[in-house]
Amino acid sequence: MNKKETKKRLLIFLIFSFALVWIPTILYIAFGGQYADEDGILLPAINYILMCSMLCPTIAMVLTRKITKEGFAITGKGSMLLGMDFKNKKWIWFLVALLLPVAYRESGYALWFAFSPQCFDTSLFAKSNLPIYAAAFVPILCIVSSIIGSFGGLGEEAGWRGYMMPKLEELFGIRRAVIIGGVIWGVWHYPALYLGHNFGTDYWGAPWLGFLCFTIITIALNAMLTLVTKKTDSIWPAAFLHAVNNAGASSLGVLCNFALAKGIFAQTTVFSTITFIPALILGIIAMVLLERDARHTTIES
Amino acid sequence: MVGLMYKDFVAIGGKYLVCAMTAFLVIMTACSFLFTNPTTALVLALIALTFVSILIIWPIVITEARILGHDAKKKQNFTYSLPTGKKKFVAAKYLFFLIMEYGILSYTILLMQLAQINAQAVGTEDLSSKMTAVSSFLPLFIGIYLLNFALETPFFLVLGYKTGTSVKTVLLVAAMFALVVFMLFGDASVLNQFDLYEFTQYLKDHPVVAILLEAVAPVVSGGLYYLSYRVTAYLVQRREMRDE
Repeated sequence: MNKKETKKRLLIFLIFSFALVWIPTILYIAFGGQYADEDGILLPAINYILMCSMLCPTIAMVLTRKITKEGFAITGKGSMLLGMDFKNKKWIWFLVALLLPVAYRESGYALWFAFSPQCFDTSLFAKSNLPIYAAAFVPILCIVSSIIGSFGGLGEEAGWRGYMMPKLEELFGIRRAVIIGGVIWGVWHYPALYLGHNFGTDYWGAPWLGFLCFTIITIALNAMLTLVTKKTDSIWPAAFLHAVNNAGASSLGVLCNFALAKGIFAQTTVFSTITFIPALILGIIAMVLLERDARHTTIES
Repeated sequence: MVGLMYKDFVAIGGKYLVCAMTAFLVIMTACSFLFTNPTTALVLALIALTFVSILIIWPIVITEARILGHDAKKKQNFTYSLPTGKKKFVAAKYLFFLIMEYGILSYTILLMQLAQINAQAVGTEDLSSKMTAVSSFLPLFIGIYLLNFALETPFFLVLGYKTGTSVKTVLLVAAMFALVVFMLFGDASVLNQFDLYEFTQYLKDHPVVAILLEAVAPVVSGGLYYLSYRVTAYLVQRREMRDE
């Protein structure tokens, strides 16, 4: 495909994706909007912005395809990757997509408890009037509800992994595409992070350290999401992985009381970084697998 | 197969449905920003609930007539003779209905979330929590419709629309007749043992059971749906072309 045309399409997509989210969020910040009230409950306006933001990458993709006359193919090269194919062991990658977030979340929280054991607190879970062993069902509940409510994940993945990543790969090769794509995805979240999304506002180095931590996380997640997309030629596994990740599917997670953390471990950025170390490792593995597949494809062609 | 699904999309008036859903969402969003008082929030929530109810019932209304209804034998014989084959024809029906239900569920969740955020914005926390409660029931309805489709589709696709409708009517009438006979001559006191309030209390006292139901029910529905597809595809492939 013509690289100049690809660059043009990518640029249009990025302009739409960022404009649709950055403009309302920055306006909200400019007019003094807050993230949460005194009790920590998200304010309705930011709730609304976050809800709509999930769909903006897909809207941007549709607009870009319409303007640049790229077409709306469901499957195949240059398509929206909306097909679902379970043959040739692709079903394994659907399962991987569902279980991977559970694996890295559980191991992330286990690692966190090694650093900050006092955060392991069953009393928080006991307030929900559920027996302690019910925590074991949280991952399966999150997976099922994430599949049912995966339109949010689909709203992002149709844009990022379904449209942006193939174009970045064509322009820069897979390794740089994953890093650049992860950075773009992370930067896209910056206005929400500035307001307090994920890390709050009361941490050392806010908001810049939060920006940095989040970008590292998005690069690692981008590698995993891109891998499952390329293995299945479909954005559905990525949508499921994204949804399960956002649901925080972890039994240990519901037994974690972050308020009991002390010293440097009371920093939200430190908490996020430590709990995401397993995800970072998996992201590196995903990157290696992507590069290996790219080399095999090059040799075959 | 995509072509077959697009045919069903057109048959159910999909374009008009999508336009209506998009327009309703835009109007609801605009009203949420323009009118910010508890009364409006309540009115918007009720309108959203009405629209959600229509969308929930829509699949039942159009499924038989439009998706499964190949009234003329000639039409079905023609479809079976297409290059896609019988198995893909059956797969297209099941897949289309699944996608339609997924789309309706996603849209209704989005609508309920919007109503919930709007209610929260004007300070009606009670209404907000009710919207959240309604959202939690939506997957249950979808699961029931999937099961309904899984049960009736084999009849319609294997036996044909008219015969399938006749069989379904006979079964329903027989069930109603049996119920009437039971109510007239049977021991109706058995029904006293089924208390919805007690069942709700049981779920409240045993929340793990509720969690398991919530987690396992969709998986079971999905499994039965797939099983229904395999059975239907097998039976349809074995059928000879029907006589004209």
